[in-house]
Amino acid sequence: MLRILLVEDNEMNRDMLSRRLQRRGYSVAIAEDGERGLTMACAQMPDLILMDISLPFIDGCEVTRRLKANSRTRHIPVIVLTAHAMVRDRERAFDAGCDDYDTKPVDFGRLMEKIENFLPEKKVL
Amino acid sequence: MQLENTMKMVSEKKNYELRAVKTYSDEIGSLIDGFNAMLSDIQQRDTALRGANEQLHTRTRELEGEVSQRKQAQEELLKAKQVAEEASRAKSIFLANMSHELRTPLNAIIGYSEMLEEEARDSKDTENIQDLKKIQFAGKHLLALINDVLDLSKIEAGKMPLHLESFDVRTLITEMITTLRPAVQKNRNTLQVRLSDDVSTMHADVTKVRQILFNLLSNACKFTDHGSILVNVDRGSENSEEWIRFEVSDTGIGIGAKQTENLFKEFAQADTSISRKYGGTGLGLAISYKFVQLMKGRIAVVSELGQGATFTVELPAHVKSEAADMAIADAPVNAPAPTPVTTSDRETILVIDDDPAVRELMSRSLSKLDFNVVAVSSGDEGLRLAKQVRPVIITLDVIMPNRDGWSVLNQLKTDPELANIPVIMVTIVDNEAMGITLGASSYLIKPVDRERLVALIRKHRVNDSSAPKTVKDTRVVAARSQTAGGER
Repeated sequence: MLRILLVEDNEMNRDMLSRRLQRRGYSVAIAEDGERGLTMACAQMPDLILMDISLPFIDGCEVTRRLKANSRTRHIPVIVLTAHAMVRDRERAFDAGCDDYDTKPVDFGRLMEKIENFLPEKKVL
Repeated sequence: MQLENTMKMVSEKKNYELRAVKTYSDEIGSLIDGFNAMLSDIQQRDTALRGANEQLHTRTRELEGEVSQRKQAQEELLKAKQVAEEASRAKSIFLANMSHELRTPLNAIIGYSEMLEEEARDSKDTENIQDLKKIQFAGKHLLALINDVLDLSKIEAGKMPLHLESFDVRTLITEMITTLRPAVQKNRNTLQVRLSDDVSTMHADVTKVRQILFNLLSNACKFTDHGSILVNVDRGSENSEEWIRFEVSDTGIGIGAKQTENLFKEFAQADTSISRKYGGTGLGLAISYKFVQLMKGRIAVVSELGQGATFTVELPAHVKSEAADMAIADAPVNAPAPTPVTTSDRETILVIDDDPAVRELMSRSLSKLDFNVVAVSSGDEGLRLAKQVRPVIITLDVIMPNRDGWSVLNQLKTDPELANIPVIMVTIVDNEAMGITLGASSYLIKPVDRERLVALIRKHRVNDSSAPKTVKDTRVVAARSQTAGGER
C-alpha cells in the first residue's frame, strides 16, 4: 500500500484529508507540525508528502528545503498546500523545491489528480 | 565758534535734530549748509532706522509666534499620523483574521459534507446524498459571499494591492474555458473563443484578471439559456499605449436600462432578487469594476432587455504599479515653510542695481563662477523676481531712484519667503552698521573688489545658516553701530 505523509496543523483539515485519502486506498501518516513532519519523513520514508505551508515551529517551505537537501529524502515528491493563491507564495514553494502545489480550500478531485501524477502505480480501490 | 559747538553737541548728545545756524553766505556758509543737509540726512536715516528696528522687533515676535504654532501643528499632525497608521494596521490584521476565521469553519462544513457524500455513494445510501448536496451548496454559496464581501472590504480599506507579473493571455483564457465548461453546459449554451494573433502576453495582476473574466463568463452562462456566448480578445493601441480588450457577449435575457445604471455598484437594488433567482452573490460586477479601476482600465456594458449583453473590459497591456501613484500622493502635506528652490543646475544670483554697467559687470563675473545671474534695475522689480526665481544670494545697490536699497532690504527681510536669502549690499554709501542691523549679510563698498565679492558669495553660499538675525544679534550689532557713529 502506498504511504502518504500528511503534515497539517489544522485538526479538521487533517481529519478530512486523511480519511478521504484512506478511503481511496492510501495509508496515511500524520504530523501536526514542521518538526514532527521532518522527523517522520526521515524515519518512515513515505511515498509522497502532502505539506501545509503554514505550520508551527518550522514552516512548510523550510521543511521542504531540508527534505530536498537531504540525499535520503530528496526523491520523495512533495505537494505543498497553501491557503494563498498569490504568485509570490507559489514561487516561494517552488524555490524551496516542492514538486507541486495546490490551493486551499482543497478541491479533493483536483488534489487526487496531482497525487496520482506522482504515484502512477495504481492505488487499491 | 557756533558751528564748532553745534558739532560738539551733535557728537556728544547724538541729537540729529540740531541744525547749525548759518550767518554768512561764504565758504563757511556753504559748509554749514552742507553740514545741515548731512544732519538732515542722518536724522532721516535715524528715524528710518528706528522704524525699521521696531518693525524688526515686531516681526521677530510674530515669527516666533508663528514658529511655535507651526511646531504645535506639526506635533499634532505627527500624532494624527501615528493614530491613522495604528488604525490601518489594525484593519489589516482584522481583515486577515476575519478571512481566516470565516473560511476555516466553512471549509470544514463543505469538506465533511463532501466526504459524507462520498461515503453515502459507496454504501449506496442515496437518501442522504440529496441532503448532503444541499449542505454543500449552501456552504459553497456562503463561501462565495464571504470571499466577495472580504474582497470589497479590502478594496475599500485600500488593502488590495496589485501583484503585477507578465503572463500569457492565451493560457489564461484556455484555463478558464476548461474550468467553466460545466457552467456552459448547464444551460445548454455554446461557447466560442476568438483570440487575435497579436494577443500574447500582458503585464497585470493575473488573479484579478482571472476573477474579472470568470465573473463575466459565469454571468453570461447563468443568464443565457440554449444560447451562445462569445469571447473576443484583441490588442489595440491608444495614445501610444497598448491595451488588451476582452469582450464577452451573450444571447441571454439582457439587462434593462434602469439596471444598467446601477450594474457596477455594490448592493444595487435589483441584486438580491436576481441572486436569489439565478444564484451568485450579486457583488461580482462591483468587484470586477473596482479591479478594473485599480488597474486603470475600463469596463462597459451594452445591453437591452431580451437582446443579450456585451461586456467589454479594456486593460493596459502593461499595468503600472501603484508605486508611481503613491509617489504623488505622498507629497509632504505638513512640510515647513517652503525653502528656496535649489536645483542641481546652476544656482541663481539676483543683482539689483540701477547702473547698467554694474549689472553687466556682475553678470559676467558671477556667471563665470557658474551662477545663473538675473540682473534688474529697480528695487520693485528685484522684489518681484526674488519671489519668482528664489536666488541663493541677492546683491543690492543702495542708491536707486524710486525705491532705495534700504527699503528693499527691509522688505526682503520682513518677507518670510525671502528673509533667508543672504543679501550683499553693494554701494558707495558707507553705512555698514545700518546694513547689518537691517539684515544684510555683508556690505561692500563700490568700486567693488571682484575678488572680495566672489569670496563673500562663496562664503554665503556655503554658510547656509543665514537665518534672520535674532533679536539678541540685533541688539549687539546696534551697540556696535552707535560707537561707530560716534567716531565719525
